[in-house]
Amino acid sequence: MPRYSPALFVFLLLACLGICSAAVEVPAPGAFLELDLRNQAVAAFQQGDFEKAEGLLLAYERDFGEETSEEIATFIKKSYALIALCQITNGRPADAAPYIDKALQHKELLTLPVYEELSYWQAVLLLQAGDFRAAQQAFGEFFAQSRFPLARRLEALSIFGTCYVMQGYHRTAAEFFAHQIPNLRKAKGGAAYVSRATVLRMISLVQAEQYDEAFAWMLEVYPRLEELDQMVTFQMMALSLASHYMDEEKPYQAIACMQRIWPAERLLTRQREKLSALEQSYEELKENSPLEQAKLFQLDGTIQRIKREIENFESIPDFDAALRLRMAMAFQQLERYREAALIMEDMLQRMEPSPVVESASLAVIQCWSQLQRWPRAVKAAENYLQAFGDDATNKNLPQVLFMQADAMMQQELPRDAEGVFANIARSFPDHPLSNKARFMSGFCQLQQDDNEKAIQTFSTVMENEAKDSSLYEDAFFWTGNAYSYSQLYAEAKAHMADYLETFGKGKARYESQAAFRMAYCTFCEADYPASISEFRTFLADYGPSAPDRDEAYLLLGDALLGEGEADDGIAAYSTIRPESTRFFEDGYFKTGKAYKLLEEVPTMRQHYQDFLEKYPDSKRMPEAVYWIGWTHVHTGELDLAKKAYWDTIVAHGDNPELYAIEELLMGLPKIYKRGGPDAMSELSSALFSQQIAAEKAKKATLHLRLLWANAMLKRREGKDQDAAILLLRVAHLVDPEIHNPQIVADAADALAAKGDYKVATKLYHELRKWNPISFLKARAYKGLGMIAQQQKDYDEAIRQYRAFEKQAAASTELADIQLRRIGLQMQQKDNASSDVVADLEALLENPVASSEHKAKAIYLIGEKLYSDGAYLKSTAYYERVYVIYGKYRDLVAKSYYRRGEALEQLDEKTKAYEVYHELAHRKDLADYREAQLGRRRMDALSAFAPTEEEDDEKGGQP
Amino acid sequence: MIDRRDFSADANAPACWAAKGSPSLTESLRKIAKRPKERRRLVAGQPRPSGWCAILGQSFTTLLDSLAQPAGRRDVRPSLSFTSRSNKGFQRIKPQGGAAFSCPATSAATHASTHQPSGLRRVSLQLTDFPLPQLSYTLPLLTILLFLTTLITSAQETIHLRDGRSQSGTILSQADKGLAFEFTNQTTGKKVQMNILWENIERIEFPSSLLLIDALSKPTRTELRIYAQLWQELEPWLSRPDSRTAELGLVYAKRLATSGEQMAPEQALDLYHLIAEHAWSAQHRTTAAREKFTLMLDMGQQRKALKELEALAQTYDDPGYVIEAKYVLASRAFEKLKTLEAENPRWQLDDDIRPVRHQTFNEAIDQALYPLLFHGHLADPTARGLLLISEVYEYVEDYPKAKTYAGDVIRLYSESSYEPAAQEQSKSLSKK
Repeated sequence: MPRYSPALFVFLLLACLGICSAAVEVPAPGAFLELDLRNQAVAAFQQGDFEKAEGLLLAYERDFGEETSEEIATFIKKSYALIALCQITNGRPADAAPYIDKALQHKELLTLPVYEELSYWQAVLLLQAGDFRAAQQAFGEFFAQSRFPLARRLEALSIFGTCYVMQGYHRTAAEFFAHQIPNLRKAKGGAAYVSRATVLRMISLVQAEQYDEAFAWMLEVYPRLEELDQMVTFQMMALSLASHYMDEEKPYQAIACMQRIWPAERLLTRQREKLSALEQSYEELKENSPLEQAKLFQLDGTIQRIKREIENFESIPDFDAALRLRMAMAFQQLERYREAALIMEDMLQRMEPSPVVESASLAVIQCWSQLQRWPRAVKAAENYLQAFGDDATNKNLPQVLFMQADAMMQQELPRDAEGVFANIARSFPDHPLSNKARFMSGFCQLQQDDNEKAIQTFSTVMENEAKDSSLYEDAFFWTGNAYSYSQLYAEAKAHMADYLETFGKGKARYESQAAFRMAYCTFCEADYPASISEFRTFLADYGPSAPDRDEAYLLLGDALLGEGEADDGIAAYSTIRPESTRFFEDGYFKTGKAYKLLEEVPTMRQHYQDFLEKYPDSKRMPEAVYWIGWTHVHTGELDLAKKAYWDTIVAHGDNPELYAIEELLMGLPKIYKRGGPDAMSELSSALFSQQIAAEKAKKATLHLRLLWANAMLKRREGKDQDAAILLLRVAHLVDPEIHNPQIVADAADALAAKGDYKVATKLYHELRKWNPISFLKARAYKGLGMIAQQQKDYDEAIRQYRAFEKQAAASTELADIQLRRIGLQMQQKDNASSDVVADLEALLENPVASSEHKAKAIYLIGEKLYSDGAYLKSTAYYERVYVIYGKYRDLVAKSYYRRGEALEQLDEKTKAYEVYHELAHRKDLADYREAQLGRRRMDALSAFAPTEEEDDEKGGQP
Repeated sequence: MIDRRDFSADANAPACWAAKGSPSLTESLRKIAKRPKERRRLVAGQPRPSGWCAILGQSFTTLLDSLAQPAGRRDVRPSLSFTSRSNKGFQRIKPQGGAAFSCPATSAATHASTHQPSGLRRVSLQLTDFPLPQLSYTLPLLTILLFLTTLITSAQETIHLRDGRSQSGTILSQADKGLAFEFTNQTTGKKVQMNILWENIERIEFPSSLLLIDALSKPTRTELRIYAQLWQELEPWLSRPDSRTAELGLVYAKRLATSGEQMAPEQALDLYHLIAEHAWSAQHRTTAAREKFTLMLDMGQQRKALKELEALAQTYDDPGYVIEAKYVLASRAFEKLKTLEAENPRWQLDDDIRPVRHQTFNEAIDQALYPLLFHGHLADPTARGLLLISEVYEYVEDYPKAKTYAGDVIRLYSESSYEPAAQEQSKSLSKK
């Protein structure tokens, strides 16, 4: 059935009323008014003047409703439909309700379209009146009418389902929509109702607390989200679902829900566009088809729903921020702090400051701290302070600052941390964290060895703290330590005694540490008898569980030996536990020393042999071997001394991890030297024969070590070529991953000296790669730099030299490498002059730099200034070289000449002449090229030679 | 017997000839040949085919003149221009009333004219239009025609409308609302121009020349100037469905980037940018975004690339570029981590390397997390990022975390294409 146009509607209506000009009877004179009224009403209706038509029809009913004429009665019955439709059209559907009921009581008089329209409106009016049950029934009956248009029936079906929701039958509503949505999809024109049903199903599921079904529904619908009219409602339901899962501690599901919620702006934009399109459709429909009331009603309903949706949504403050924060909280529930922090950090970048954003900023710092990503924690704190730090009433500021300072401490930046802690104490004196911050600043001062300041800070802490607080005790105790670190032993002892008295034995938290510290201070004051007593008391009181036990035994042993009580001292040392390593080995070797002093040589020998046997991995193993050798030498058994060395070398020399073997090998010459003039050749032979034995026995590492030791011996004997040959063999056998970096470095140097840059480079790189904390790493940088320089790769050379400088700040070679690097930079003219001059000036301050290095540095500064055109300044530097560093003649000659050139540039020809003159007449410089050049320049500038008068005035000095 | 395989060059050959049970071509032709009167009637006024017929020369024209079109058969008097998409037995369909086409010369409902489709189709239509004289002449002639026709590349586009109709012709120009299209009216033989709205077009079939096919399949053997030429021709169609412009553009840009020619990488960047902005296919846009970002990094424009990335990340409109760029950053950081640890196996002891190592490790994880945290509804990119994180944790031997992230893919993104890989990863990790 086609949708009816207004004209068709009127035709049908009039047809069912039988009102056609051909069917009207001519009334009797008495009925003229009635007929007239009737005709006027019908005419008004036909003309579309529904207001007039309604009035006339109502008047007719009023005036002629009591008439018994069948015709009139029939007309009145039929007019009910007209009246109802007029009232609906005139925007007063509520008034139409009784007329609709009356009209439907005479449905046999109605045509199908009219019957359809009135049935629909009957249901709508029930709905509007809030009688959902009755409305549902009415819509159900409407849907059941298969003669009605499908589109209308689908609308009725949709509203039927909605009535379940209105009545609170959410479970039933959810089931209903689940069942109907597929049918709606398939039905022609049903797609328009799918959207509404989808949203209603979601609402129903959530209301019915069928959360898992709602979750599955959300996932199913999400790919088609943009098809929904009421997208905001759907998304708000998703948010509600997320909240439920958060409460149920099901963060994964919560996250899945929140991931599918759009940002506020995007949602609103989309809904506003949708609303605009719908409103336009509404206006067009109203203009073109004003009688399409049902369609208009439906459209208007959608429009109003979307408007309400938008309005409600706009009133939610900080929607995005709240959503992101919840997402972050969900990740926090999963202990995924990184994710939480990243979400919140992004939020903070995008959003305006607000209470939610502030809360998130704080959480970010906590998350990064939890992850121990200290730089991020510090940065997050800075960002917080930038956004919220200006508000002096902000209660979170001290906490944020504290976390920032704590992160700085973790990054080993005590100076920065101290500043922030001090700021907290100063700016927030009444805050609970204030005194704790003050204490921490004191701790940072201790870390910077500013003990005196720390003592004052701790004192202030104690002044501001209750005496029974743990912070007070901490400050008290650490004040004592600070005295000790400052070597104020008497004060430290007195303070620790005070501490123990104040807090009571058995109650003080740092009791044992305080007691140890007191004994330690007594020892440091060289009051050995008192310290012996105190250490014994300490050890008796606090027993094997005391943390400073081993150190106490070591110091006790020292004190006892200091008092000549060797046996007791040795006994004290023997109680030190091996797991304390450093203290144990100290005690062990002091025991050996004691045996030496007691001249108990065999005991001493056995003592060290036991050490070798039990602790061959110890770094002090060579020292033990040395002492064993000493015992043999002491008894005139040189061969046994040598044997002791060789036995250890052979027994452990194939273990690449024992770097101490190289030390032993380097100790051999000292032992052999006692053997007379042929000792070195004997050693060389011994090395060689052991080398062959090791090679035969396939002891690769031992063989390698012996080769290297032989090379070192050759070098020591001045046989550099032989040494080089041996080192080249070493280079092909060494494995940088496992072998001593010393051997690797020597091998690489030998290769580089030979010109085998490729293999040398590889070895240097491997040296650096496998030995990140070895001081020999610097040799790798130096070697690589020199190779690069040889190969004219100056940028690489500069880079490697810089790495050396960073690595070897205390090296004797530092100045040399710096000068090389600066020299290269000056060749590469694009380097910033300020860097070069600053570096050279710094070299002059370097206490390790030799005078020759300094002379070179000054000369290079002069060169740099000269090349930059600062001739006058350069002359001062050149002069400084040849005046102060006279013994470095090559530099002196150069400096003279360059000064002369600089003076020429300044057009000081006479002065230049004088400089050249001096250069030319220095006999010690006569062989230098600059002297000849100076002579030539002198000749060229002869016209500017000073007169005798001028010469006398200056006393012959340029 | 000639069957559909002989028409292999034309994928749109009428299905009737290939359909089982349908009469063979021979049979059809025989029936047609039996109508001499109709044949004669058709000769007069038969428009001369142009284009490829001119190539073949006069002999062919003469042949065609000798063919007669039987009158009165509905299926040889096609309606205005369009064939049915269903195309069973090569039916002609009269346009429906109220069609969106605007045809200036005639009304769609009443006009009937001959139709000259492109390429081989034209040949096949000709054959049904015109009954061939005798079978003995037919076979060799057909063979020649088919052979010659396959040599000729079709230069026409075919527009497929949403209502099922299609037409071959030439696109003259395009605008925001639609395009201007020209085709030859079969009946009058005159060229017809019409405007077609985009909303009525389902797709456009673009011709794929041999040059284009070669350029796409053999990038290293195709000269840059060929790419430039093809790009100029196809560029206007970048944002249209089924165009191969984006595909060409990506190959072209790649060639430019690696050509070593001056300014070629900059041109490649421009191309990638254009494709990332305007390509119709989301996949092409994504690929272009990723390649562009990678190229910027390779060109040392890291700072600029990151700045652009940060600016784009502020908007949610099309996160594709940002997601791809962050994935590139994550992957690169992971590679850098592996290189760093390989070159510094004792990095834990190296005060200089250790912080760099930590920073690189965190960079890889943080960037890979981006889609999960900000676009978690996009299954594939998110799953890909999670899988990468699992691999990073596996590499650093943090197996519990590696398992967690692989598990996230299985638990949250089981529908993604990375789920099988996540299952494998999970299985492999369970042994560690």
